[in-house]
Amino acid sequence: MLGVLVRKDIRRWWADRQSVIVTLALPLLLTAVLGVSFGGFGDDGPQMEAIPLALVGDPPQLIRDSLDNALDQSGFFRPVWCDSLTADSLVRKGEVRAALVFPDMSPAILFSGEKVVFELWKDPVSAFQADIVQQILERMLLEVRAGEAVYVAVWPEDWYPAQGEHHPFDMFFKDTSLLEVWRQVRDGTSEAEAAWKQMSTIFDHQVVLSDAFATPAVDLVTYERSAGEVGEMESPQSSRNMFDWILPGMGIFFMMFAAANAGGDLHRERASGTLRRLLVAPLRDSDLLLGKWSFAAANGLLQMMVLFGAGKLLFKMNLGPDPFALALVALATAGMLASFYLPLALLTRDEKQLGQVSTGVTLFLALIGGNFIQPEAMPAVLQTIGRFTPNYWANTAFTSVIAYNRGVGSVGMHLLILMSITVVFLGLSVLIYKRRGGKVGLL
Amino acid sequence: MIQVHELGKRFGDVKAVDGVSFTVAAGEIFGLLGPNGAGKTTTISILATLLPPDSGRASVCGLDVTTDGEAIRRRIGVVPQEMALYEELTAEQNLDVFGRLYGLKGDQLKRRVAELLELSELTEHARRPVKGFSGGMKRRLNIMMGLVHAPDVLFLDEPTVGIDAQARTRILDLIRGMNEQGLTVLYTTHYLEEAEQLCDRIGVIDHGRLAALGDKEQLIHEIGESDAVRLLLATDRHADLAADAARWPGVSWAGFRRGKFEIQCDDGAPVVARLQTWLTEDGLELDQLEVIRPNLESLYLKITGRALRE
Repeated sequence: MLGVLVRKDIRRWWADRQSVIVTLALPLLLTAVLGVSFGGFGDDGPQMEAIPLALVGDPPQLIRDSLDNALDQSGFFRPVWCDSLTADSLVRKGEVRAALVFPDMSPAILFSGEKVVFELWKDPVSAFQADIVQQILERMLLEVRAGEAVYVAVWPEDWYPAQGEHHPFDMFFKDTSLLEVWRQVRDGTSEAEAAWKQMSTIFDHQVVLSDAFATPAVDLVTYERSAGEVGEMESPQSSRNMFDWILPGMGIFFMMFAAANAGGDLHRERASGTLRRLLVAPLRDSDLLLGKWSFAAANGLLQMMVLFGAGKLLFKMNLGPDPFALALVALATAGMLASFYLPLALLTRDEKQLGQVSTGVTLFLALIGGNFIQPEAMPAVLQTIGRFTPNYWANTAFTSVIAYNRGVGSVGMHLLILMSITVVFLGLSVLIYKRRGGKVGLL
Repeated sequence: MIQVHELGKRFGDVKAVDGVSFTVAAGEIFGLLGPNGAGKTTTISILATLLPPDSGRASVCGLDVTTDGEAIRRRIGVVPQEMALYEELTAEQNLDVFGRLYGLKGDQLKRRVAELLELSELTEHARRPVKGFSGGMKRRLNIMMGLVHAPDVLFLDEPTVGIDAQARTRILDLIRGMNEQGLTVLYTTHYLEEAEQLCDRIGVIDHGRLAALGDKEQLIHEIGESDAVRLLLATDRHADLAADAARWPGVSWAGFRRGKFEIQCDDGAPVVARLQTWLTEDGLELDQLEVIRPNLESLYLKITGRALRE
């Protein structure tokens, strides 16, 4: 039944020239304008220059490599490693926008639970966003911590000699023989009952570890460096296609409108009388709601595919290294947006009212959820508020895959949140449907 | 096939259906006649299990409307008042969608769609989008959509609203044809002539109450009204005519009513003959003459005190 309903709606959509124009042609036009403005045809188009950032200090190689990687993938910064005197002069001359100074670091500091304090030198007149650097540092340290935690848990005997020092995770493990349990479980020498008992202890420790990971890891202390006369320094070129940053946000923005419009189909069917006809057909109540949800999701997905396809073909848009990750994010986003607008469709009186409400909601969410401005570039307060918008998670997931070139592992949490929002709003729709008297409420 | 007993439904303070009772036999065309807002659509909605009744009982095909909704919906077809069609889709696609929703597929579905297109004389327009259809074509397709799963009972809610006389005649013929094949029809309308032409029995509904029920002859008999000969003389001898006509056999009253001279009588035919003689004797001529037989309009006027289309 669901298939019949969705097929029917897709056929109707395809037969309605106006719907096709609104859903596909306008976004395509926007893609073309954005592509010509920011992407260019091929690799020769306008590029967003990465900001040179001096890096000072001698952190462990693992940290050094991870930070280089994180800064490069962010697309915002180009790392320039140098000593403190050179960094100071580069900042004063304006050759780099800021310098990030590492503290003396041993690997143990990563797991001690203490904050790592960095210095940031910047010109006081520069509009440099220290928040972005702090976020990149926090994310980088979190990834290093997580990677090391897994490594030491599974291969402790490799890790200890390599580091040549007492491992800081022992603070979590010292009252149990967790490491021993791991070995026994891994080697198959543990008694099942004993292993299970001790495994439960592991979960307790996971909670402790989670808390440790959740603690903000970085303090960034900013110092001003005013302009002065210093020597010159050459720096390598680095750039990124700005189109990769802009199109996903705009694509999601259009998907939001498409989802709202698809939700409005309930009102259109009511006005035309076809809803009454559907309601007297032997359908389950859930078929009707799921049918509209599926159509809205399929519609959004199609729109996204066309947008990204055009971006890729015409403007060499980067779609990331992992098509599977991109497909999952697109699916989860389409499903989430379709469910998000369904309660609005059920609560509004008619299509006009839905249009007014959904336009307001969409614009508001798009503004604070990062569709127009990258979340990282927004003030901290707005970033915090933005996390409560559903589109934020879609935007950051696409950014992670497309702009940061990451795989499916980087968007696991995003996918989970997007799917949770989908379930919650579908549940809310069913609740509203029932509270309004089921079929009678729809009429 | 349909049994309705003391059915009631309120919307706030308004009693949309107020203690309505009637039955419809298998193979019958039953008409619910009443003006807009009389309660016809609400009654159909309850019988189609779209609305729960507040009081009373109703069953369709022996199934209770409050407990056997899904089973009833499989056995009924509903043709709503609106053109409930997907305008962007073709006639064939519209029928196909609802055929599938009722579980038809493959060759069975194709055959059924072709049959209905032929029955509604839309075969040559099968692959045209419905939005380009005339009003009459849309109405015919609207009816076919309710028949796609070959229901036992068809509810038709004012299916001829807004179309011309020719298209209306085709639709009434169509319904009659389907009924001859055994389909039970509950037909609501506010057109008297349709109810008179089409329905085996008629229920007159007003303000949610069933004011009269029976076949056409029974209803007219219930009125107990006589024929009326209405006329206007070319010269003003109406007073003389009133005095004479009052003494003619079978005449109960003569005088002016609603701007015309009217002679009320048991049977209009002999009175017209007598009138001709009277006119010839006095060398008079007529401006207008009409004989009005009692009909549903007069019944409705008598019951509700207002014309049906008011």
